Amino acid sequence: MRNSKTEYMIPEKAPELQQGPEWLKKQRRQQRETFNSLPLPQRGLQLWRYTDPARFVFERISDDIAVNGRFEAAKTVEQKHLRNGRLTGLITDVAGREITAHGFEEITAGGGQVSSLATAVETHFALVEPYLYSLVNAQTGKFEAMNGALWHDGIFLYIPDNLAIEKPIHLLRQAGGPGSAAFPRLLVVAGKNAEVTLIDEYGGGPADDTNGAAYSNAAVEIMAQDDSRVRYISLQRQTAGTRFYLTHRARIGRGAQMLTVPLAFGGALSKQNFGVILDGPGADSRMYGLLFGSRHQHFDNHTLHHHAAGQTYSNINFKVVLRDRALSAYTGLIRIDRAAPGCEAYQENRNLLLNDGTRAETIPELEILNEDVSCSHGATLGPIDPLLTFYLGSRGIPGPEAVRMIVGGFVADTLKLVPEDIRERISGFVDERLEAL
Amino acid sequence: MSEFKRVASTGEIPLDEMRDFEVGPYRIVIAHTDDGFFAVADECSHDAAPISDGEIDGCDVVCMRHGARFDLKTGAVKAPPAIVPIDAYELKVDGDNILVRIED
Repeated sequence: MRNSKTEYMIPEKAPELQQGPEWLKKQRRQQRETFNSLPLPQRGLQLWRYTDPARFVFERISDDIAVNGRFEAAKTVEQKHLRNGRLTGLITDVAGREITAHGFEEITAGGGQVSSLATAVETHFALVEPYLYSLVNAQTGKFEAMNGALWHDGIFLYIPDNLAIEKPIHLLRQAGGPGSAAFPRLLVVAGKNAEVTLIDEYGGGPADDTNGAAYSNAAVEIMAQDDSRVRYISLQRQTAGTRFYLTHRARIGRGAQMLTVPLAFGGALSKQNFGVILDGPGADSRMYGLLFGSRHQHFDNHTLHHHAAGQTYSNINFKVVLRDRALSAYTGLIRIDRAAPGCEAYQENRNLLLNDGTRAETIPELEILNEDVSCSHGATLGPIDPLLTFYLGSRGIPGPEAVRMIVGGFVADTLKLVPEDIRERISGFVDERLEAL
Repeated sequence: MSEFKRVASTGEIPLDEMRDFEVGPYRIVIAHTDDGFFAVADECSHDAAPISDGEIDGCDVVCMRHGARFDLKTGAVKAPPAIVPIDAYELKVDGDNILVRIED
């Protein structure tokens, strides 16, 4: 326990600021200056209405990046998938510091690139420099500036024009130990008419925060060029000893299709911000998210669909299930620019509260500057209808099993929207949470 | 399960002032009034503003954002726009230590 008014400043001699080529060092210094000059966001206002920003400020950084057994077990499973041909490639990322790639022959043979970001900034200037910091940077906010200054290593993926990668790529990220801070970063560039599926899994961390929480501040930038098809699944299943902050931004071009599937299951405190900028006519973005919270878990999720071009389509369906004393706050913004006629944008957030003591907050927002559009938003929250459990009880299905069935039905509507191959990949993780109910 | 945890010392919080603390997953505010020390949740039930940014008035706290008023002893609403009480925590002073009963 502590008073919240402390604040961390990035020192001028932080080793990360000396990393990389000169253009990158300059960027890092700018990010640091912005971080140090910006005040902490004010608690209780806008996107920090339900989460205390001071909880993402740390007083010391441990270098403990010890890999725990759970991470090794997950790695073994994914390596098996890779050997069995169910994955195109596997990348492991230990606390944003040690990046290892396995597989990827299909991509490199097709002219693509897969590497650690620290390597890519040296070897692929033309592919990296125009895009790194283009979507998530100091202008995005204080914590994004922190990642921008302090990221040690990250992941870089380039899929060239017309290359379609059928099987998913799995990114397996491990949080650090107690008191550690990790700054994972991902940059994806999908060329014109390229196709790729990414499963970005954040796991690991200490069992609890008795000796200090493990902190992760992640940034994801995805550039999906014209007519590309990118599917990005974000799977958050860190331990109860972690605090997780993520800013995701994707820019999608003319005719491009983006599917984002945020799965928020883990962590003691998790604040995630998913955003897609629809930047060309015909661009299509869909987000289908699931959140399961229990014990004292605190989730704060934001989604953004920014229609910067006309004749674009977006749809969000975000489902939340809470039990014990868990809290979920969801803020979803649809923004349609004045110069973007003919857009369609939909947003739905439904919350199921399994007991007293849980709490869900939902704030749908529309910022629409053009009259020739079609938009809707909706939100619901409430408990399970006791008539449903009564009915199932009358058919011999006991209480806990009835609850699992009802919750399973609640999330199935959203899962049905996800393409079958992805649904197969994520169903195990969803079932794991259902079984724990 | 709930137990008393030491949160602050009495000297940290002068009379008619408040301090906010993070205790496990909870954000709480401890207020020092003429009637003693009291602990409540540090979030207005109306619009989520930090209660600790408000003002003590007798044994009430007034939220700075919209003027909602709560009883520091019970968390009960004394004036709108809030309509839902805030959590009040059992508190005791042991010597110089302020202890608050917090649910695990």
